[in-house]
Amino acid sequence: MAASDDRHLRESFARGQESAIRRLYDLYGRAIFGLALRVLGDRSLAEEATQLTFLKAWQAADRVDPNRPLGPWLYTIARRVAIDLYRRERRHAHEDVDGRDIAVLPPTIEHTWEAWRVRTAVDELPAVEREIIELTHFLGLTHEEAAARLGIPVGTVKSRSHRAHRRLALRLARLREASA
Amino acid sequence: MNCTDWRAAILEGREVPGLEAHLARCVECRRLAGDLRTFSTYLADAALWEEPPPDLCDRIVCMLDDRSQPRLRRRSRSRLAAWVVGAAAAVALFAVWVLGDASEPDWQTTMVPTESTITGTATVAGWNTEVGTRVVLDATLLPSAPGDHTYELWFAGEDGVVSAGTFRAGGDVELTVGVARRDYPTILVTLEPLDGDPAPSDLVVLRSTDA
Ligand SMILES: [Zn+2]
Repeated sequence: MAASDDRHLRESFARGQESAIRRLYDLYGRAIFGLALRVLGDRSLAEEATQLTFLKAWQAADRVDPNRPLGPWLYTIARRVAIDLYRRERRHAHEDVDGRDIAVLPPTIEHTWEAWRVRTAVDELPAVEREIIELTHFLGLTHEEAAARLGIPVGTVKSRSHRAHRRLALRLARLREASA
Repeated sequence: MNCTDWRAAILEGREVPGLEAHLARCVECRRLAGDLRTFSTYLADAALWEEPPPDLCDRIVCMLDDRSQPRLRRRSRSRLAAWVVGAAAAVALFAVWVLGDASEPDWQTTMVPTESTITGTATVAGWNTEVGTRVVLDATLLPSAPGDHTYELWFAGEDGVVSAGTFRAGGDVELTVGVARRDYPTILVTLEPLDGDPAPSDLVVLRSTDA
């Protein structure tokens, strides 16, 4: 997304505009939930973390540098929320742990940035292309199997898959430059 | 085939004749190839495809809607409300009325500086919410944090400390923390270097007085 789109979306989000909240959720909600689930390993905690991330983002939205890109900004908030909840849960589980425990990071915190980048890139794809990526990568189907599953010609699956991967490659290269 | 086609093929995990030859002469694609292969493994990872519950977005919209509405209503009556209460109380409460909910806070306390270079006191008020505590800090006494630092507000208790979030300048700040003050009675503001370390620094600048 262009910087001006980011800025505009964040401003509308800061005003609590429902369409902006939904758009932000469409773009980043799954990535936030996925990050929290990776760190916390529990779906209901991940839901809590996702809600808390949106709440914190909303509270900070009108105070943040307007040029700061949305994705990395939300990632920072989501990561922080997940770490805080992880520590809270850890403390509840080990009542005897002393204050030094606060420095402990969840072991699953590594690679959350890479997973975040892939998930947000996938979520920007049109639904039919996302579906092809899911069928071939996650379910491991061949193009022929995917075609049978979707009831469409193999040629369509191939061209859709190529288009989806081209789009992903472009997006991931851009994200890489943005975070370099 | 152009570079994007070659990159798509790597991401797709497709054996394409000529790929190695292209990588040998194209610095950009060579630089990206490793990342693309890593991304390809993430695409096969079940955790990447986990979906949140379908109603989560609606719940977030409701939550933020509930929070925005009093904010709008409050503006029209905050001035009147501020005049009704006594002058001294009005000063302390103004930030709460402007930033916080129209309802009375569930608790409020004074914070004092631990650095002799800062004078005055700050006020912090909290509202218990479903997901923890919403906090409004009036810290007009704090100067802006130095460029490579930020302020951070913490809830501290016997179990350790939990961050409510960071802010750069003094003034009125609204933050949220996922715990209750009942369990974390002490409130601290620290000055944090931007070093990526999520643990609190030793530079405590404000401390609550009632716990
Ligand atoms: Zn190339």
